[in-house]
Amino acid sequence: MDNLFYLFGAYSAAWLGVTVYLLLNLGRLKKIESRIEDVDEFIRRLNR
Amino acid sequence: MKSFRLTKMLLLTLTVLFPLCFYLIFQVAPTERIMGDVQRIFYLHIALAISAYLGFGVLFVSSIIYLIKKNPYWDCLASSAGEVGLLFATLVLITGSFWARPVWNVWWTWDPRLVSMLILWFIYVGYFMVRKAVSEKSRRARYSAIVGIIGFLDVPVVRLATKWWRSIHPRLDRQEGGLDPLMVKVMLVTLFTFIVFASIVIFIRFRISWAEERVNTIFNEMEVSHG
Repeated sequence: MDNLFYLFGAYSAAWLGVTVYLLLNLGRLKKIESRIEDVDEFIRRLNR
Repeated sequence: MKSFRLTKMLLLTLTVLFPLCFYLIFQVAPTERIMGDVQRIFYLHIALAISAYLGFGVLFVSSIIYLIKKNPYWDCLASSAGEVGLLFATLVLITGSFWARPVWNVWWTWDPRLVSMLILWFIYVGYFMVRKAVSEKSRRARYSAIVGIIGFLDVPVVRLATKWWRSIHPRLDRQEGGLDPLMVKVMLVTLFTFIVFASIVIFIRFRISWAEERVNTIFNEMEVSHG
């Protein structure tokens, strides 16, 4: 029964790692989306 | 359209395949006679290890193609796969420690398999240090490709460490009577799920990285032409 701490510790650590990584990439995606909007805005201003 | 399909596949993996794995690991797989329930870390540990090798393998192949074609697309794929490989390798070391503590009574021991895996981890940390240290794009890509190719030579060493040297790390081909057939089936399903998951994560990371690369190039060109 006391081994369950290690079992759930291992699974929790793995899922925490993967979740943090996916959230970091979500942040990167938002950053790149805002840069694409900047480029879009710049091109629109040039065409005006 | 491609991104939408990728997100759908990621959601499918997270909502269908992973719950199925958890059900198989915790409800269907038999309890190991000596180690008890803690042996169920095995399914996660081995799947993470194979996923890490997959990431490093993609890095290795992409680095070779980069050195031949000099196309930044391959450098981008190599670094994305390396990042995912490093994430999984870190998790292999952590889950391994959680398994070692109740079974070997230590969190870490200087066993050949563990040491070779730690060396592999340091090699790929070095890979990203090289990428941070060199600012010029093509030089950074070339140097890191060389580190990635040489670093991959440690992967077979990690796999064969338990054969070549005296090791206390479990070996699938050495276990008395082999694994229980049900354990093998659960292991294969978990392995498949993680390979699918790792491939999707590598591809998503690559698409973000490639978009960053292209947007930065456009920005630089605009700055040059319009001041």
